[in-house]
Amino acid sequence: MKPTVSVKDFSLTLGSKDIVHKLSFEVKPGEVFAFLGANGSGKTSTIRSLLGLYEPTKGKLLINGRPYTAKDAKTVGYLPEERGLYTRVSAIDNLIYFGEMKGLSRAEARETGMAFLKEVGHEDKATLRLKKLSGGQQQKVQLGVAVMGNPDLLILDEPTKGLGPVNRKLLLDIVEHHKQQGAAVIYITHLMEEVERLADRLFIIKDGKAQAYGTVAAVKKEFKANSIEDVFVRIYSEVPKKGGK
Amino acid sequence: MSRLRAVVRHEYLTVVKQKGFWAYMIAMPLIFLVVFLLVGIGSRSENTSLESLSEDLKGVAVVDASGLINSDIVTGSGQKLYSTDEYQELRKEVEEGDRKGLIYYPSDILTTRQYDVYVSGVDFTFSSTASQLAGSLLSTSLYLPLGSQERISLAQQGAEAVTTTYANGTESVGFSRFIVPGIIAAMFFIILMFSVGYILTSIADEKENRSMEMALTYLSAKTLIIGKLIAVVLITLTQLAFFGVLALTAFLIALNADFIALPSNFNITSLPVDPVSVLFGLGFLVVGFVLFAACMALVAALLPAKQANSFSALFYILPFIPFWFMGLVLTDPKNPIVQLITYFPLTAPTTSLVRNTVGNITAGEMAISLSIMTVVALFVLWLVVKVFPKGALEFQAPLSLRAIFAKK
Repeated sequence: MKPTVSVKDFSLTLGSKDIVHKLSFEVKPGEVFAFLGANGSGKTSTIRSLLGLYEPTKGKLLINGRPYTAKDAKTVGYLPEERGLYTRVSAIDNLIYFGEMKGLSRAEARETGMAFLKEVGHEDKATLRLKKLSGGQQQKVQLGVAVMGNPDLLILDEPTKGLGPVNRKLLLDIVEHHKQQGAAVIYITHLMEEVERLADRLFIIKDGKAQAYGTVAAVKKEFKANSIEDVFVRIYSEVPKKGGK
Repeated sequence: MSRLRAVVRHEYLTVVKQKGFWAYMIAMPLIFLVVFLLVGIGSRSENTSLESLSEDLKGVAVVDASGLINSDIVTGSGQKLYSTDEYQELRKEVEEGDRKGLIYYPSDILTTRQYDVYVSGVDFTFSSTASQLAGSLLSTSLYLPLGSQERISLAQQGAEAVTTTYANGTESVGFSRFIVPGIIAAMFFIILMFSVGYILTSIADEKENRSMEMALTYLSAKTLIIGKLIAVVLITLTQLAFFGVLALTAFLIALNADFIALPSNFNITSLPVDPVSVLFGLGFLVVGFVLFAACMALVAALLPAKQANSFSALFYILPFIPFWFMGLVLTDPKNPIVQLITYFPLTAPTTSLVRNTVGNITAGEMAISLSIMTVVALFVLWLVVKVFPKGALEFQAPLSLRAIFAKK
């Protein structure tokens, strides 16, 4: 099975600062891939490079076998850590706009957007400006933008941040559904119980360098740990090793 | 193409659906209309007749030591002309508050060109009305020897000059030739003041609310920038159409209400159009718009939102610099300063459009100025597309020069 995402020997320097050093990993269709690391470890920079927002200093980052450009927008659904929708525009117009960006016709985007709002119980809020919605409601609209058009790759950066248990379950069910449909999911989170529940494989990054990579069970075994949280704490408690793993 | 259309629609509707956009559009002309009406009403009241002025000034005495004032006019206006012997006594009455006012025309008025108005109390309206009455009594008395009412009207209101100009031995179209270039110049200032700022606001907002990262994930920087530029053009056209309809309506109302009067030989259907002047005017309008919009986009891409808003003031100030040298621009086009601001890209549109309106710029000068502007506008646009993806994701700090010109 060809990987949806392939990152090989990727390094990134911004200005005079080395952000990422020689990362390599793959994400396969139909799997949830947990991409873990503390703030400032290089996760967002790696994702931005994968999406062509930053140009890599070295190495290759491929989606479906080629570097991503905006022409491939329909293959990707991105929910960034810094939520970014148009707050002066209605929920449905946000969904339509990004749907069109992903290559849907206006009518298709409207239909898909309304279907999503119905699924998450916000059909009645479709025409409300986004700034009139609560944080959780806005986050669901943001997820709607990401999953619109059933992309091959979903990149979700802390998608459950700030959500209550009901909305969190709803959102995780949607992610699970897209995984079942064959989408590859890069899942970034600080909540290790979500990793244990959802992830098939994981990757832990520290100071831009790879620290752990493999299935959840394999990584636990390698670190002789009972949980991914133990692995994470152990990695971040250690003095940095020269050259990384 | 469909993405570009979507960007244009999104950018355009985001602006025109805002209540603030229409409130601003309506408020600005309303303020102008109120000022215009006040000026009109004010100028009308200045022409108030002698009779109505006198009505408010019962009890004001008139003393004439100059021999210029006609006693019938004074009497006819409801006032009384006193002899010069009574001047001191009348003045004392005013000082002591027994009389409301006194108008005194001294014997040396022809050399001093001054007369005295004494008023009891501090009522500014009363004292200015008394001064107006004094002026009217004097001018009407002076005009009286002219004889007929027509002559007096002609002397008071003047006559209209009908100018005929010649070029190359034949009659040229004269001042009306410059009306169309003048309208184009006015349109440029409307665009500058009302429209180009939208592109800065749009980019700054996207950086501020972090939607820029989403937008650039699904769109190329080029599509996003071009979409924003086209949207600003459409916003501008909406504003121009709105202001145009309002201005035409106000103009027709003012014309019918006699607030304004067109020259007797004015005919809009035969308004002359000089193709060279109009084409260059439109060129400066379009390239000027692209240049300033691109500069705004560049500033918004390079700087965080708040700094970008402050820095953008520069692009509102520079186009108005030529107005500081307007005397030179109108009378001495060969002056080095005028030449400099004719060719410097950020002052060129204003200078060239004004010079084009008054007809003191050659086609060659306009061609050079427009070419420089076009090259700079294209360079700024190229720079915007180059730095946009880098700067657009820098939310907190300005983009460094090293980052701007880095190959990667």
